[in-house]
Amino acid sequence: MRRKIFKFAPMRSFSIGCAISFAGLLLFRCTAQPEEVRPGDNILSVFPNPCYDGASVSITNTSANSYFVRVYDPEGKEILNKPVNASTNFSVPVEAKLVGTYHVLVKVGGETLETSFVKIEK
Amino acid sequence: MIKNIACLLVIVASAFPTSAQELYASANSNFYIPLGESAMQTFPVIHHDKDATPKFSAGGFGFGVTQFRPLFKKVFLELNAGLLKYKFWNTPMDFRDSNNQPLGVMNFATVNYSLTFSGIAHYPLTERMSVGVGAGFQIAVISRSKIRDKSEIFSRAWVNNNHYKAVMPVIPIEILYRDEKKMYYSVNYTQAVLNQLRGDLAKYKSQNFGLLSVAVGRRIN
Repeated sequence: MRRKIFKFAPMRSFSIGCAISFAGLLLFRCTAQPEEVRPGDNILSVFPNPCYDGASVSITNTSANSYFVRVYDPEGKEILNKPVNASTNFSVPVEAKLVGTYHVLVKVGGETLETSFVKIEK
Repeated sequence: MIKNIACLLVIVASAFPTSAQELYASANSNFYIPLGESAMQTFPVIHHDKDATPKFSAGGFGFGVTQFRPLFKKVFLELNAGLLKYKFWNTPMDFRDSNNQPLGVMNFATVNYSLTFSGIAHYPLTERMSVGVGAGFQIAVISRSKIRDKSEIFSRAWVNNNHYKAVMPVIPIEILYRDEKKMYYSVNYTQAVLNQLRGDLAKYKSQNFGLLSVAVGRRIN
């Protein structure tokens, strides 16, 4: 009786091995959520967030007298672009605007800060 | 928009004649790799969060059709058309009340649905394995984020993200293995070519992505 000869298919084994390693790596590496940012660390804040009709922009821990604010609506369109006095809170009216994520860019003392807020439906 | 998509589907369908010798139905699992925005992260295949409802949520996946046709000499062409869902952890958001008091920072996932079309020229390394590079584009159908407040000030809400480009040119690179049982397996990396953001926002901010996917196809003709 002839013995069965095991035929090793190196390329197939290699590709199956690669696929399993790849899937395993991604499955276990990506299960953690991103590290949370502590709210106390934020210099730039927008409140209330989420909002229905408007949000205020506030900057703390800055010695600058004024800053420059740019706000973009959920379609990426610039809806506000103006200098603001640092001693007052500045409000962004969004009552008649789209629901979604708004991006806020602030230039203060040569530094650009960035945050976002959400307008939701009432 | 729907008319444009319908026209594109007709054009793509005409590229897949019924007499084609190798037509496959395919499915894939994909991983969105955010580039240019360090706070964004890749979403896993299956994510578990005991505080969320539902507790388990699936990552990216897609379905489509693939055709292989000879191009010249050993080189052959792979044509793909499909619907893709991809998911990623968006930039964490700092929730605050009306007195500027922190309510917590929320990590939320964004889900994008896109129609994807590509052509990849493959060069065979062995009888069954090949590597290829090509070009294609993705048409954004919808992008949504599920905003959920852990402090339960408000209930869950979906918000649409309209600040992404509607059409994104992409460059796919692929390793393909076709077995003798009418199946194919591939590992594909697709790189978006342009800034993903649109409008005025794109002048000040840049986001881009790579999409890593593992696909399996079954011959249907």
